[in-house]
Amino acid sequence: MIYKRFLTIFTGVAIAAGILIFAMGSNAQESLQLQVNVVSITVCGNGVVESGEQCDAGGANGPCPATCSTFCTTNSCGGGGGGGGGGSYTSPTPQTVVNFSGRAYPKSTVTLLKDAQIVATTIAGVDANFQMSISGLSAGNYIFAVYSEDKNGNRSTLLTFPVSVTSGVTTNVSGIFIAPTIDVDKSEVKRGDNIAIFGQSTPQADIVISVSSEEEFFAKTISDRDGIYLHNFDTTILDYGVHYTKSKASIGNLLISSYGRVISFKVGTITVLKEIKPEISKGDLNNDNRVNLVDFSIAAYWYKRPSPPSSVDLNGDGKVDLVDFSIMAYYWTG
Amino acid sequence: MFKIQKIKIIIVVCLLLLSAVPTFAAEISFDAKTREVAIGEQFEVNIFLNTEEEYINATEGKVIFPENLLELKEIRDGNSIVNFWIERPKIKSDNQITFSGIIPGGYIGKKGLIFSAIFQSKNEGKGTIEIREAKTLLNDGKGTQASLSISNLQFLMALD
Repeated sequence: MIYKRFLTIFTGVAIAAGILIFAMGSNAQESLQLQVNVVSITVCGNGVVESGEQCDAGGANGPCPATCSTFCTTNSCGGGGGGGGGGSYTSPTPQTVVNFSGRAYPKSTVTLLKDAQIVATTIAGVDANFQMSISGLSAGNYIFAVYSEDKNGNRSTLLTFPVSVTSGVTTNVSGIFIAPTIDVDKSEVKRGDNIAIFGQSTPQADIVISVSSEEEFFAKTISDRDGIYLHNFDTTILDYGVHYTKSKASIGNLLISSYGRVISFKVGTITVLKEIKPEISKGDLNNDNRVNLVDFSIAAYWYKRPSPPSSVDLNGDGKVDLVDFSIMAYYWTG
Repeated sequence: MFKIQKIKIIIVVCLLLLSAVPTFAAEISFDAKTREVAIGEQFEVNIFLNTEEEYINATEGKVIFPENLLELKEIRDGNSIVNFWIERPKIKSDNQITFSGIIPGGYIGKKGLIFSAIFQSKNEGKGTIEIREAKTLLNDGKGTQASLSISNLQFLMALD
């Protein structure tokens, strides 16, 4: 049999690259929007003492007589005593646990999703801090997400983070900072009048409000002890037409949330008050106030079919395609 | 006596930028490793999403492979970052895999597995596994298309 010697070194990397055009904003105040929420993920059981851990003895973590617990806190095993004997001790199998902690809004309900399905809810404290735990997971990669609802029933955006879970260890996801909610008091505002932009975040947080159309403007305010913030925005500087606003929160220079939901209002020649009620989520196709698998199923039926109902065609382009599912995924509640 | 024919697969990443005007571009790519497999042997190709600095909540595309060189044996979507498949990855013709799915809330990361394909080598030759008509959409509530670059796989299979 004849063998051909492989000689060719493949060097021809064909690159068809477009030219990167950096899209820079026109407003000097853009330096305000620099950072996003940094979530810290640590693993108890990897033998490395990480942020928030008192100890980590790896596989030796456990109850007394181990000096380090399965939650990476130092065990208080006491001393003295003696005697006794016999019997055998079987070390319990370490549990696979994922702990979540962070800030939402005072006394708000915080919902945790695992791979887009609700797995836990909790109520944040008056200081907006929350924590929750889930256990019994199989090892693997998961996408966790959290969101909260403010006192008016407005939902935050989903904050997601992929986590690789290892069997028998505790993973801590800390530093979660849910973005503020946002609403406005007018659907249309007469140019030159003020529009109230308000929402909820953590208490005493610095709130940055962005109002954008062609040019982006920023305003700053501070939330009160209930996490409520309000800013009266003077629309004199805005052109006629539709504008968008969003907000983010920071505490000192340590914690900065990402921007939350974007909502719109119109600047015109008259003022039209807006009814203050929770916004109906796009994607809630069966009107149960949730956006979940049922809605996905309805949309999936209409995927690429002719003449879909307008309620399913979320961007109104006459078809149900990936864009409609993307919009649904943004408003997802589980 | 029969000797096992070894073929060497050299994989070269081809970058194709699909869209301009990005600050950062998301990327769909394959894991690029040089492998040595026997003719008729199976090997796995993973398709990954690198979102760079953006949250991506929907993706779709087609994976095209040369049917004269490769035979698709299996598609695996376990451990995928995609939570819900609009079109689960499946073979649509002899040389085409289509996929479409969403990630509620969006995914941000450098190496999110979309799915894996198991191929069996058939013959010597040069070929490309390509991704076509790919889209990734931003998690912005509007379905805005993200800037996307594609890294195709070029490979050369030759007897060693």
